[in-house]
Amino acid sequence: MSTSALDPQIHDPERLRVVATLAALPDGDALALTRLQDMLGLTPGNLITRLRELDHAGYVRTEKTGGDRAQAIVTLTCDGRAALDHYAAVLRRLPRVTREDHQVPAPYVRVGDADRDAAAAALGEHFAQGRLTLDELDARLDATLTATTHGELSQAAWDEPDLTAQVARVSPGQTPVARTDSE
Amino acid sequence: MNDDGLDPLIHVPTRLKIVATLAALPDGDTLSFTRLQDMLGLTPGNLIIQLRKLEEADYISSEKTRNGSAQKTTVTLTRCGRKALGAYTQALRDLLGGL
Repeated sequence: MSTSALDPQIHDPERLRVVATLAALPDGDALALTRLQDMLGLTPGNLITRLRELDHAGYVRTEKTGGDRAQAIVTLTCDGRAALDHYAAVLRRLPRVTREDHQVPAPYVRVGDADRDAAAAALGEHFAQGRLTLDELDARLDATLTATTHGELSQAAWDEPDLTAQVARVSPGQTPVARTDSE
Repeated sequence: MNDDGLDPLIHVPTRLKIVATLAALPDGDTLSFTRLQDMLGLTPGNLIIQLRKLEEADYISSEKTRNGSAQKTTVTLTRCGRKALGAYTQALRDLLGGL
């Protein structure tokens, strides 16, 4: 399988749900088959087929517990967990998907410490790159660290380019889209 | 759409790549057919089939322009397609949790 392909064993919607559900358990924990079935709302036949396919790929293991109340339990294998991690990584490498992800919060939305810290760090970077004098930095840091809303926060850094904004656009490893087409 | 919210029209890997690539363009921007084909490394036949399915669902629209003897096809994501991709990624994110 190529490193950039979406693992077809995991990509199937039902198998994906099975694997994602098992992956949410702590490492090595097992889930009873009946419980898994309840959680996913699949028919027993359907679930068993998916588990067999995943078992075949080496991603899950189904075992029977002994004793008088025998039941089938299902665990994700190390390979299964690694395959899901890899699958998620491939998904993340797809071109940036929705711009809703990057939408600036409305100006009245209140900011938290993390927002203030990020804005202050960005100002520090602009200062380091010579775009701000020390006085400007001081004034803006004050405004940044006392900002209570996104409106105030963006005002404190109002004319600075966002250093992170340009990075995530278009696709990884591709030439820019703006190039003229030679058709 | 099936009940776990993973839109089957988008879920097919090839179509997911097409839609995600078009979604990375600024709203309303188009990409030529050949450029899209280059970026995704698909055969023309495969790309045409996938684009037709997406166009039937009104997720993309395509336009043919004629410039002298050369004909050029450009493709763009519709508002509906962008919305569908947003719902799809949200469903996937819910499913994969912190991964």
